[in-house]
Amino acid sequence: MKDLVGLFPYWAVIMLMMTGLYIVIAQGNLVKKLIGLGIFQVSVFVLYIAVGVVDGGTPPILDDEFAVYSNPLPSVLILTAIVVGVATLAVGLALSVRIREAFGTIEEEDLLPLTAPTHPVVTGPEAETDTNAGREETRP
Amino acid sequence: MILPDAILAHAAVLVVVLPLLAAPIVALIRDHRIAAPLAILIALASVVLALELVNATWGGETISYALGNWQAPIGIEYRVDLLSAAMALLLTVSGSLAALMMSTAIAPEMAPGDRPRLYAALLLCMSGLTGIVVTGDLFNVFVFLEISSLATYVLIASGSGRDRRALTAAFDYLILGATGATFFVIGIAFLYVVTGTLNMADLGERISDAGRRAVIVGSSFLFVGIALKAAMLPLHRWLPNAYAYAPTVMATFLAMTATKVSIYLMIRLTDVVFHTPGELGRVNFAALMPPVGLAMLVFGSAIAVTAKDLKRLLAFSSIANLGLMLVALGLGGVAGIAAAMINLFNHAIIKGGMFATATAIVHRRGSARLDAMAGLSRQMPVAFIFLVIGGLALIGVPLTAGFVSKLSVVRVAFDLGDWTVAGGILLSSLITVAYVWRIFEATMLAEPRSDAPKGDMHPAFWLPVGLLGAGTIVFGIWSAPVIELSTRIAHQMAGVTP
Repeated sequence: MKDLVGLFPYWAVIMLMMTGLYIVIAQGNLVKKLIGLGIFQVSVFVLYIAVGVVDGGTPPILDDEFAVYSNPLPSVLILTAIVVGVATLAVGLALSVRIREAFGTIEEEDLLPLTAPTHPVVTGPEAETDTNAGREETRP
Repeated sequence: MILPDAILAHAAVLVVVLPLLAAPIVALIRDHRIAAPLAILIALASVVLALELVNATWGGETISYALGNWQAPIGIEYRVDLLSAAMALLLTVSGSLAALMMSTAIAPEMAPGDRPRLYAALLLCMSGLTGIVVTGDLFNVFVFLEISSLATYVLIASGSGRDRRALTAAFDYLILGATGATFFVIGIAFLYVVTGTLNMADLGERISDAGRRAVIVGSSFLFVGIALKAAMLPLHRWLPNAYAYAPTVMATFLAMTATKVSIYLMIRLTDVVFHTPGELGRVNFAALMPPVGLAMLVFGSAIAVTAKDLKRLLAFSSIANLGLMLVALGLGGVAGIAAAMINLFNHAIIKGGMFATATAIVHRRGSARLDAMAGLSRQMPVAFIFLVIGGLALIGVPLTAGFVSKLSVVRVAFDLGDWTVAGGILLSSLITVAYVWRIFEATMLAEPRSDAPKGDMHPAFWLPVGLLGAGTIVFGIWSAPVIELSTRIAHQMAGVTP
């Protein structure tokens, strides 16, 4: 019971990490994949912050009344990692928009036949604007 | 050598910061005719800085630069030894060669208004990769890894002007790359918890007293993260599409640098963080490398035979050559690291030369498909000759750099009596003959098309293609510089005086 409560942040991290990674692998929708990736990254943020907490420590602000402070370094590192995560998400979403414009779908199973090496070359995102064009091409 | 001392004292940080700061400026310039020369200028300036770093570390010295004058291990330390300096030189030279070809190569497939931002992405990618090799701080490695990766996704996606599959290739790499980088951060978290430091040198000293289980878990996560970036089997899925659909000039840069930096990280973390050369942590990852590397060698070469597109063929050949580097690393010891470095430098030159030639061909003919290359030997004889040089070097024919590379690994394998490795390399060379033959067959024997565009390489490609092609031959005949450099690096890494 003590482990369950005392290590609660770590249980949460494991839950989030597995959930995120599972979504990345199992979901076929590109935006959902990115959401999964976000959850996966957030779990690592929580891990770092949980590691920095000191039992009975106060926030790391110098004061005569307190002697024990939490470790500020992991939180600072995670500030950087959050920025990195946001940038990755932004690039990922921008790419999904362009993929939607170019292929007319963001579902992986519809994209697979269109992106096979044997598929004839189609230039640029402007080449195809009809949303149903992708599906029609896969018909025998 | 040529720079004033005031700049020289900060060379370690300038080589990263200069392209990093120049990138947004280049991106903001509207006119691509101004942006392109500026990007080239910045890249060449970085080469000079990297040369200075090599010069300063040649004798085995280590430059330690305290960022913002916060001393290590509290502050972030940039630590440059010969390995870092040589890698920085490779990265900046690759960046410069790509920058030189860029404006001509990209012209048919990208609107002039978009080009400055692509040049900025190239500078950012170069800056990020250089940052990885000069920093002494593990978390800093992660940040630079992400800077370079984000720029790489953009570089790959920019191939959509020619083929829309560049977008999905970039997206796949983004998902895998971001997952790999997150694994890397998880690894850093475990090591930080048990050692209380992020400085790699400091970490190396404290890790022997640290809790065993946490170190094993942490180093495993680090290893998987790096292995993904190094396209190690079975985590190689992103590489062929990324190289095949990226603009060829960007594929040239990526083939010369991106995966090489992961090999650098493996060497660096082998020695600094985990302290025992040839062994990552106390889990023996080194024992894993020869079998995986051999599998990559054979599998990469075999798939390259079936490729229908020159860029995809070269991409699978890159996987095979990465396998060779991993084999050399896994064999371990000073000789193993030296062999891995020889392979790293030579392969960058050979594959860079072939991709640069492919850039010139795609620029002239608009396609890298092998069946569109009929008659190339008569219509573009110069480009054809450079393809032949590169192809012979990939096989490992004597008097080319590829021979020196393969010989160095085989020699280590012989010394250790490891016949599987020697046999595997021989087998892969035989398969290499098959895929190089496919290039010759397509370019020389196939019936030429009469409607093929006329003219040989555009003059913009002469310098990069010529330099890399000449390097392939020169370092095959006069192999002393590369071998000397690699041996010095290996000695420095193992802490033995040469």
